[in-house]
Amino acid sequence: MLTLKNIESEIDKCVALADEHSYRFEIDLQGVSCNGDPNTYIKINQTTYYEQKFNGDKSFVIDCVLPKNDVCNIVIGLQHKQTSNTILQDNKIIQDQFVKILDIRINQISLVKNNLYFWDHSKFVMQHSGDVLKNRDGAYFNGEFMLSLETPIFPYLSKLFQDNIKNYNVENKFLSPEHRQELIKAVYD
Amino acid sequence: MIDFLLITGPVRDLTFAPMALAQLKSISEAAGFSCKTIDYNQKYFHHKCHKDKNKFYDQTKMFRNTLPLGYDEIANSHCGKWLAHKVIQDVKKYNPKTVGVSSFSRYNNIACLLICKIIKQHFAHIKVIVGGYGLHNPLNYLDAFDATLQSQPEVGELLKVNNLCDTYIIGDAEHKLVEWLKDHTVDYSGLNKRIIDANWTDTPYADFDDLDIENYDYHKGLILPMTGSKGCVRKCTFCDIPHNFGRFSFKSGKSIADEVMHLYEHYDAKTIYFTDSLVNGSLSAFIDYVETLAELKAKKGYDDLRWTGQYIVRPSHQIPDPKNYYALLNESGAEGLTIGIESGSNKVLADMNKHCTVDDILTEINYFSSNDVSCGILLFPAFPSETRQDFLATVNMLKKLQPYWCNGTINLVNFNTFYGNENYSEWGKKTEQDGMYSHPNDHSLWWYKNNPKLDYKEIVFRRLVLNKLVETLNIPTNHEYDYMTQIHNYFTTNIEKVKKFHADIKKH
Repeated sequence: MLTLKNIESEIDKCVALADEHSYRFEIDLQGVSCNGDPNTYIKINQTTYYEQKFNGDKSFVIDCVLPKNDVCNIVIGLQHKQTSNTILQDNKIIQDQFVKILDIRINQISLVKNNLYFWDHSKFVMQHSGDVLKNRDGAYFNGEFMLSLETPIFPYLSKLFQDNIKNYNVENKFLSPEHRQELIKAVYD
Repeated sequence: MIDFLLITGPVRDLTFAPMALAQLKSISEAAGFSCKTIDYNQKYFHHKCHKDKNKFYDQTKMFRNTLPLGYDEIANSHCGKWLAHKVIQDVKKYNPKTVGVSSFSRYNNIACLLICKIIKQHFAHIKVIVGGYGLHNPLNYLDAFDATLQSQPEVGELLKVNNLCDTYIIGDAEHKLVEWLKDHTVDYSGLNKRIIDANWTDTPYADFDDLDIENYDYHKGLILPMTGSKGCVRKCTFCDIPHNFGRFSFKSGKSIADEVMHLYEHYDAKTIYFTDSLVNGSLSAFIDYVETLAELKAKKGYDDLRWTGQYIVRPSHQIPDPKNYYALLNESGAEGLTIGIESGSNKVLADMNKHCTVDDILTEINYFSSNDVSCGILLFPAFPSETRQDFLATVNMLKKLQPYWCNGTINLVNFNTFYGNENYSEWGKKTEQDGMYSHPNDHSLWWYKNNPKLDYKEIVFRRLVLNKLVETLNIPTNHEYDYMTQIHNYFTTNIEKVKKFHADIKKH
C-alpha cells in the first residue's frame, strides 16, 4: 500500500530497476607495424583485458560490470616501442609503429561518431615524461590513451550530449520541491 | 469589409502556425471569399509573454479546462482580458461578414467559447461558425464555469444550443466551409457527427501569409505544417482517430514531396511538420514520398530541408528492404519522427491493439540509430489494463533505450498520463458492464474492475516514478514540467472529488 511514509522509498525501488551496470565495450583498433607489430594493452579501470601484439584492423570486445557513482577509465596503451620502430628520412617519419583508435562503442553506441565525446574527454599520457597530449586518436608513443567517463555511463553521456548540442529542444524542468510535496501530500495523506 | 475572419485562441502548440487557419484561408480565397486569419495563441505568446514559454503556460493554464474555474475568473484574467480586447479590436478593424473559430483540442475549448461569447455580445449580426476536433470533448466543470449554460456532452453542441455560434463542423471542413460561406444555411453540426470528405486532398496549398510565422517557438529554422494523410491504419483501443477521421486517406507520395518543396521555396521553411496521424500509414505512398523527396533534395542541393511527423512502428518483417528504406529516410531529411510507443509491456501493447511488440520497437530504433534518423517517443503509464508488473516492463524498456538518447537517435521522450478514455475510442465505450467505472463529467476519473489495484494513488505513483527516471537517467524531455504541473493542479484541486469517486466505487 502506498502511503505518505513509504512513497519516496517505493519510487526509488522502481527507479533503481532502470540502473544499467553491465556494459559491452567494443574497441576497434588499427595496428600499424614497423619492424614489428605494436604491443598493445587494453584496460578498463585496473583490469587488463587484452595485452597482445597485432597488425591490421581488430575489434576487441570487453563485457564488464561497473558500479554506480564510480569512474570508467578506458585505457589503450602502447608499450615496448623502440627507436627502431620508427623510420625517419630527412627528419620526417616515413614509417611508424602505432595503434589508431577507429571506434569505441559502449552497448552499440559509438563515442567517436560525430565527435560527441571522444575528443573532449580523452588524453594521452606519455610513458617516459608523463607529458599529457590532447586530441590524439591513438597511441603513437609508448604510453596510455585514456578516456574517463562517470558511472552510470549513460546518464552521464546523456547529460554531455544535451549540454553539447546547440538548440537542443530539451527542457528538463521539474516541479518545485514544494509543489511536488503538495501533490504527494494531497494524494497519499 | 471582408467575407471571413478565421481565428483561434490559446492553448495550442507554439512550434508552428495552425494548419487549419492556413489551409481554410487558401480554400476560401480560391472559392472567391476574402479571408483574414489570426492566431491569438501565438500573439499572446509573442507580444504578452515575450516568448517565455513558462510564463505563457502559467498565464494560460486556466484556459485548459483542467481546473474548476468560473467564466468570470477566466475572462478577467490577464489573458482573458487581452483576448477580449484583441477580438473586439480586430472584428471592428476587418468588419467581417462571418467569423470562424478553430478549436484544435480540448485545451482550446475555453478560449473558443470566450471568443464566441464576445462576438455574439458585441457583434450580434455576425454569423459564427466553429470547427475542430476540440469540439467533440465535453466541457469539464460546467457547473463551476457557468451554471446558466445548457449542458451538452460535446462543446460544439453546447456552443450551438446556447447560441454562442450559428453552426459548427467537426471533421473535414475543406469543402463544407465554402458551402456555408455562400449563404450560411447549410448545417453540418450534430452530436457525434463527423464530416468525412473523401475529396479533402483536392485543395490548394495552405496560405500562411497572414500569420506571423517567424515568431513561433521553433529551434532550428522555420517550421511549417502540412497534411499528407488523414486517419490511421491502426485502431488503437485508447484512440478516437478512427472514429473522427474515418478510413485512412492520403495524397500521392509525389504530390506530398512537391508541396514540401513549395513550403521550402516559398516560405523558406526548414522543417515541414506533418499533421498526419501517421506519415507511414500507406507504406507504398510513403516510400514513393521519401524516394521523390530524397531525389529532389539531392538534385536542388536543399541540404537543410527536413521533415518530421508521427510515425508508427510496424512489425519488423513488414519493412521490405531495411537497408535501403532507412537510408532513404535519412536522405529525404526525416528527423525527430514521433513514435507512440506507449508501453514496454507486450501484454499492454496487445491490449492497446498496437500491432507491434517491444522487440519491433527496439529493432526499429536500432535501424534509426544506424542510419542517423532521429525520433521522439511517447509513452504513457496507467493504461487501464496495465499492472505494476507491466509498468516495470516499461521501466525495463527505458533501461534498454538509454544508449539511444546518448547519441541523439531518441531526441525526445514525453510521458503523458492516461487521462481517461477518449469518448469515441474502444475503451471510451466501455461501461460498468465491461468493468469500467467512469465519472460522467470528468475524463480523468475512472477505475477498471479487472485491474483493481490501479487506483489514483497507483496512477500518480507510476507518473512520479517516470518523473524521477527523467532526472536520474537524464532523459531528454520537453513537456515534463507541463505534464507534472497539470497533475499537481488536478490532484491538489480535486482530491476530495477523486477520493469520493473511489470511495463510492468501493461501496458499490
